[in-house]
Amino acid sequence: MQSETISRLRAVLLGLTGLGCLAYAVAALAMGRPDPVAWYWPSALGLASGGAIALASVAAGRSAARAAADELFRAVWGRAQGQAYWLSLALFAALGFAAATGAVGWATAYAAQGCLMGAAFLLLFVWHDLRLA
Amino acid sequence: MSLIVHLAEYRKRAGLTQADLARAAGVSRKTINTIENRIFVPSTTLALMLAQVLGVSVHDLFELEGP
Repeated sequence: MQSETISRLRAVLLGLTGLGCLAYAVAALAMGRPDPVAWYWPSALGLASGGAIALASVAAGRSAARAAADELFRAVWGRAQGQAYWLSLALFAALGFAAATGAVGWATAYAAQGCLMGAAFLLLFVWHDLRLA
Repeated sequence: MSLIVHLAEYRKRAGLTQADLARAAGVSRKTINTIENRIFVPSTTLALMLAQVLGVSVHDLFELEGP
């Protein structure tokens, strides 16, 4: 397995995890409840993706894994983190306002916020990563 | 002031593909491609590594465009 394969697998898995988190948050807000499906789905998806990426890296060997996590990867990761930070603050304000005005329950707002923060980072990372492909 | 990159020129002169150079420098092919296309500016360490792999000076690979 080459570093390119690890990169592609990582983009697909993190993208799916991000979409899963986004879907959970949208469903929570639409249904007005913090657990639109079993509460552990977003974290289970994240853990499964992380495990699969780790296994692929081990199978590919040290040099391929190192090349897949080189300085371009770290730069893209850092850019996504920076943008997701500000997006999360904006989401926090929006959901806080929605909860304070009674439009959304506090428990639902917390659940949606947690998932949207994860989704923001993961989808921004995948977006930037695919743009460079 | 912008950066002029001669990496592709020296890589081709050495008879290497992007994948060959990436393997020798320990980075991904995408990193080499983005450096060559001036999308990504490498760190000093990677610039020195690329120069070492190609057997040239880092000044041959990168130069600043005059004002």
